[in-house]
Amino acid sequence: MTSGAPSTRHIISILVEDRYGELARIVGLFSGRGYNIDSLAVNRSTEPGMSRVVLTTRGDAAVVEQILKQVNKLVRVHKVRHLEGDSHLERELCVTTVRTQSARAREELERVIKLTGARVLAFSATAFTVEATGTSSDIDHFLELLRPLGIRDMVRSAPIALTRAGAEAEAHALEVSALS
Amino acid sequence: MRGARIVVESLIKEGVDLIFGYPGGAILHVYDELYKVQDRLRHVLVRHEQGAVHAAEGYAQATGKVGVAMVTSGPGATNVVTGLQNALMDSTPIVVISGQVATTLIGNDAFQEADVVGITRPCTKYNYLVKRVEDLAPTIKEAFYLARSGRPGPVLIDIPKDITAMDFPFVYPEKVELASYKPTIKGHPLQVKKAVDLMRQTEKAVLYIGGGVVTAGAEAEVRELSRRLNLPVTPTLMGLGAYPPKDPRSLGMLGMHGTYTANMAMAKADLIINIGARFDDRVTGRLDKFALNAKKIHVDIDPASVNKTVNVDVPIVGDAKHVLQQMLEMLPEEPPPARSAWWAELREMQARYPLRYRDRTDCIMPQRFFEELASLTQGRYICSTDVGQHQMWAAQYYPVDKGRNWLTSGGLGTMGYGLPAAVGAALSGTKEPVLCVTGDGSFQMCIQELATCVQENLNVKILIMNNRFLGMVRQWQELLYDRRYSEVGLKYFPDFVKIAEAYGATGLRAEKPEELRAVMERGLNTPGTVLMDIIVHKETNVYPMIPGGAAHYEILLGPEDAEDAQPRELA
Repeated sequence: MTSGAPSTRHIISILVEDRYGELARIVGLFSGRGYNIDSLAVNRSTEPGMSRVVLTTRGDAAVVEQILKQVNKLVRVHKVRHLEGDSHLERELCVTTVRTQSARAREELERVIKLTGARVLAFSATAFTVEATGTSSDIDHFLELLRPLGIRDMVRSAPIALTRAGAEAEAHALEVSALS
Repeated sequence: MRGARIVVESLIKEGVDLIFGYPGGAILHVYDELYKVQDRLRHVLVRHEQGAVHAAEGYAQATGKVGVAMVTSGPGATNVVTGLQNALMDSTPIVVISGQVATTLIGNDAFQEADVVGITRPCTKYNYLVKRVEDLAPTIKEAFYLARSGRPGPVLIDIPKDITAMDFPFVYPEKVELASYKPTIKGHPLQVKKAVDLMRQTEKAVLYIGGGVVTAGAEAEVRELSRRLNLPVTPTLMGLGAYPPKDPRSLGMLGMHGTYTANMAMAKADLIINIGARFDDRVTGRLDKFALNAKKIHVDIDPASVNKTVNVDVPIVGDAKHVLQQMLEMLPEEPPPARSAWWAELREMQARYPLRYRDRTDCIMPQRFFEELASLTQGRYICSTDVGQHQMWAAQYYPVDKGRNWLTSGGLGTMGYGLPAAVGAALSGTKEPVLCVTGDGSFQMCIQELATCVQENLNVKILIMNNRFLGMVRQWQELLYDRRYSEVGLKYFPDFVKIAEAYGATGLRAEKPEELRAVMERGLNTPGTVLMDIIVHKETNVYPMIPGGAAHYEILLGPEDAEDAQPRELA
């Protein structure tokens, strides 16, 4: 089993009614049953009155099965999806301000921007604020490249993930098998 | 219509004619409306909010209907937490309505304010804070639907005081629209077929039944399945009464203090058919040694209960009654399998290790207490219990033959449950007395409800198995902590007979074996609320016992079977 190891990371996508206390119910379920949430992203979805929650957690196959079932049991949760394998795309946003006091530093930053597709959001005589998107490891790599320049400030979002075009059928089959 | 009146009329629309509660500031408007509808909706005043919830649970367990409790904000609401968790663990349908400070005060640390939806979120099936008067009726409709459908459970509705003072036209919704909540009732036919084939093909099968059978009203179907497949049956603590205990195919209760035969049957089985139970740790014992040779079928209405602790071969999500009917329809017309070798093995174990104890003439043995009660009542009365040794002996010896006649706190193990639960059951319409079997420790946890019993002139017969110890904890300290009795001997005892009399009930006491039967007879035949203080042997242990974390085959037997009381390997 690919997801058998206790430390395997899992992405779970939840469609839940946007109501008072529903997020607390999801989060409370994790803490109450001893599961950890590594990251959490919540925002509106395309369906009116519904929020999309994307969270990552860790555990073996049995733990994930329980998590999926327990979340699905929540009264106002409409859909739970375990995003597995290469059926989905994952993106994280990072915004960071780096020091660029020397010409050499500005050149180096330019090189990193070209390499990673990052974007300049603001700048001053001594610093640039840039944003990058990518998978968690892309962002790790991006920050590694910037580290020699001196990172003054940094914020990164929780990863969001979506079933990629062409993989919907596969994801649906997984969802059904996990919950039946 | 005023919000408070909408609450009351909604309850009446739900068919509620009895609620248990305790008034206070934030719920005053609703109590004012209750005053006006006394002829249509009876309110029973308890003496502590915990009592209100347990009474609602007892009523629900005894009737299958939704029990209702009403409390005020702050301490009133925090006092219901134990009862909510108890109902959640035992899948008991109740609705609790709590007052809340006005919406304008929420968050201000107002007098008697508490974040009640926050506090009760993990111990309810669902809960609500009603912030608009127009939401009152639909919320109550939905709350009752959630409480009673699927795997039943507790639902709490927190209503701010200003909402109960606002006006809105009263229209009670006809239906509940909940796209995201659709309990599965029918079992998947292919899975049911697989289960039926397994039941027909295996020899050493055991039918393991839980509270889900009682909830679904599937007792007749269980009997029919057992008859047509010649299956031995063992109930869990919550499933007691769902199968006639005196039927030859009953092996008696399963689990930590279940019978030797029931537990060994699980250890030796090649097929376990779990209907409406959840492989609780008190039943499975050590998980990695649980029923190693057995294929497992699990019927449960809660998908999250399937494969939670024990991986099963044939999971079937559905209502126990429906799935059993599907199984019975698929069973071919054929004579029941003989299972001769299996039954011979079981009969030999039953003969060799029945429930037994050594009686004494100088004091009342606790088991004798329960045998006498069984002989006097034949198990036909509703019996509530508290938690501890007396609960296990009641489970072993009280021959309850109707699931709804057995009221006990199984999952949470709540001391203090018994007396208020008996209050609820006594108001459920039964003409018979309601027994409350309790211990000297448990009884003192909700002792205040004696006042409710007397106030309502309830036909409740309280039997205290008084061993002057917190007996179950003492038993563990004896067996596992080298008799270091840490805080288990209650050093001061009130005179329970005088307490009964002070409350206006009848109090009786038996101290010697020769007094036991006469006191019980007199107590059961005295009208109204009667308390019987039965002084039993202090240090008797409950056996058999599977120590926590041990396997079924490591079951300990009592001193009567001492030569066999060693741990044994699975044959």
